Amino acid sequence: MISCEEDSVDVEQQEVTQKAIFETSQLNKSDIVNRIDLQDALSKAKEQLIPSVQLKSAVYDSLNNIWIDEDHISYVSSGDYESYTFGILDSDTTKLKNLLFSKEVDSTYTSYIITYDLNYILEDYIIAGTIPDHLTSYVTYREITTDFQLRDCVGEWRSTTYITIVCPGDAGSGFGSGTGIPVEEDPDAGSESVGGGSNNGTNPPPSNETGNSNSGIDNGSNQPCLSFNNGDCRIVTNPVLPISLNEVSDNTQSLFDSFNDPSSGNYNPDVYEFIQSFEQNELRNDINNYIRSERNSLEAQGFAVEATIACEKGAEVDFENKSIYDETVPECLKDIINDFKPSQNGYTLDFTNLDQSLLNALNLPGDILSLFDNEEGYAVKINVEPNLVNDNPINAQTGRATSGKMSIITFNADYLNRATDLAIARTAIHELVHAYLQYVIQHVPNRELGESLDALILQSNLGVLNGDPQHVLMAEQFVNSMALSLANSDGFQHPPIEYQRLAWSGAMFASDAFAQLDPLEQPNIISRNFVEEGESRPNVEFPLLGTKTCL
Amino acid sequence: MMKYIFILILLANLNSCQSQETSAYEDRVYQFLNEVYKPKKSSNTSKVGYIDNMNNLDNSIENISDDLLKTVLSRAKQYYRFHIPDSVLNYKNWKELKVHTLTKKFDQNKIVIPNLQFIDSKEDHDGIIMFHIEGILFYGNFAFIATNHGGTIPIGTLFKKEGEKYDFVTMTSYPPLGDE
Repeated sequence: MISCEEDSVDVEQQEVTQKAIFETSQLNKSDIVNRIDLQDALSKAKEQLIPSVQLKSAVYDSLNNIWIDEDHISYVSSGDYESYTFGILDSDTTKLKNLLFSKEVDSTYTSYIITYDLNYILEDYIIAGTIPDHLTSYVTYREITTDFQLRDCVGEWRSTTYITIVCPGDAGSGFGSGTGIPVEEDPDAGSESVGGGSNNGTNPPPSNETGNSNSGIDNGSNQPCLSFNNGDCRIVTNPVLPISLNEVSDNTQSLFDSFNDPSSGNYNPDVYEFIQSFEQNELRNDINNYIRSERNSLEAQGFAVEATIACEKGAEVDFENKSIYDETVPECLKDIINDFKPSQNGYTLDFTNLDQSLLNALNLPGDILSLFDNEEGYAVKINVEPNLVNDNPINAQTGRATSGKMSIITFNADYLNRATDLAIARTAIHELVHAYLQYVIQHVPNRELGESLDALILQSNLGVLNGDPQHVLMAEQFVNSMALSLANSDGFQHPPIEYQRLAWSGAMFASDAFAQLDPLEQPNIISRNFVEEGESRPNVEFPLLGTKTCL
Repeated sequence: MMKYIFILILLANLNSCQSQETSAYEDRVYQFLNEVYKPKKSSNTSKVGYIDNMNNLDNSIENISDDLLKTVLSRAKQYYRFHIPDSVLNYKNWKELKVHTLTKKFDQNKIVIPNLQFIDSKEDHDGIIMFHIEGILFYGNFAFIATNHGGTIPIGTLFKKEGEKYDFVTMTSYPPLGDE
């Protein structure tokens, strides 16, 4: 062990001209699985700290009421040296505690509990790496040894050997010699900016410690600091700050609590544990803001529930457009569908050439299909499944969630892997129209469109309709708009007839509207679809128009 | 003598302008084509369909795959609003039909509509896209035609005859396009 006390002068002198070369990174549990020596040290430390209980992602000691957070680990390395710092959560909010593993020359790890006294040291100082020199004595550490007993040490922290070398943030400057840590020349380093050393602050260390803090660097400048105290400079740690659960409104919290209420229809303990984790603070905020913006409507609560459940499974939620991408959705599909979201400022479903009466019925703001910004909180969820088949192969299908407040569009993975972006965009439009019609049936059945659907459903029930009502409506009313939307999203790269051909798909072929088309054009429509959907190789008559981006 | 020779030449010429001798099946084919491809009154296009003039309808049974026929009949059953007899929906019945042709090339003279032309696929037709008729079958009041566009995509269409008119029932390919 090298004493900084003895070498303090040398260290200071070298700090003027040298910088240690540190690399820092943030790790999680999976990153350290294969680091055997560290795992051994971690196990031993747990044995000392925590006798028995282990939970899912953190280790909990009910006796001492602390948690070791293994999902947020700060890693520091410099040459052969490295250290791992784990966050510790406990009920004492006046202290920030970290569990540090510092690598020794023999490649073993020595473990320490490091404590920052938040009565004296602001978290901002720790975040910015600007712990004032005169406060470094409020940073203490204690080595975890075989006779270590945390409970016995309460109140004795400050009596243990001071101190800690703190290398915060991006680390970097002022590591002294004799540490085994490589240094590099820093011609710009000025003596004033790295001065300091004596503990001459206004707040002396509490208790009876001598506070011999030969602190390294004055952080009045923007230089990241190394704080030396008590002469032991072989430990380097990048602090892990406590992450607390963001507070949300009572309404939002009530919704979260419903996941933990066995009498609630939302009861799902896994989802509750998920949303009550500080790791979901951003999602908690998003949901909170969304519910507030929707004035805590039942529809908003419904979407928030769906969104939370989906996120627990790894989904991505777009609250602004009331849509959810399941974790199975590839980026290429997201890119295509995003084009049709109003908030993306991209191409939207263009229904401008519909009759005015129908436009009114659709309640379309300009040329936007209002699926993504309807007032009733109706949502759409996208997912992908392999080998989606029924009696016939299925490119995609649209169903309704059991809640009735969300459509679920499922794409066939095989289709995504063989179709062009143009075909997939067409399918997206087709399914979004289905979703919109489901929304109409659910929420605005008495408008013109809803009544049109009702009439078709009646005809279908009477057996006097070729095809099913939604596809008939698409074929009769929407096909031109769908073609125009597709052309918009594709930048009108191809003749309009090609977008018209692609606008026909699925059971639209069974409609009377298709039957009425020119018989010489009908097979061209099928052929164009065949090529773009990847079922047939392109040929002279039908060359490929789109690009296969989801392969 | 010269008079007889002139009459023979005249008769020969007249014969070349007349339609070829055809079977009853072929007569039905031409009547079908004239009706099905008749321009729609609502259509404002003047599209012309070019068809390979090679008449392989003798091989209609072999050329129409079971899978294509089954797929078309299945879709017809699923979506068509009118009743279709089970015998029609059984593809095997279609495969037992007899087709007989007397000609090896389609006869343009038997086409009375302006938008259908037979052309020789062996000749160069720059810019003209043609399709091939792979087979035509008639079963009761129903007719089935298989066409090929671009050489790789067999498309089947089922019609129902009402009087002289053929009503479109359904059209699909094999393998079929995916449902959406």
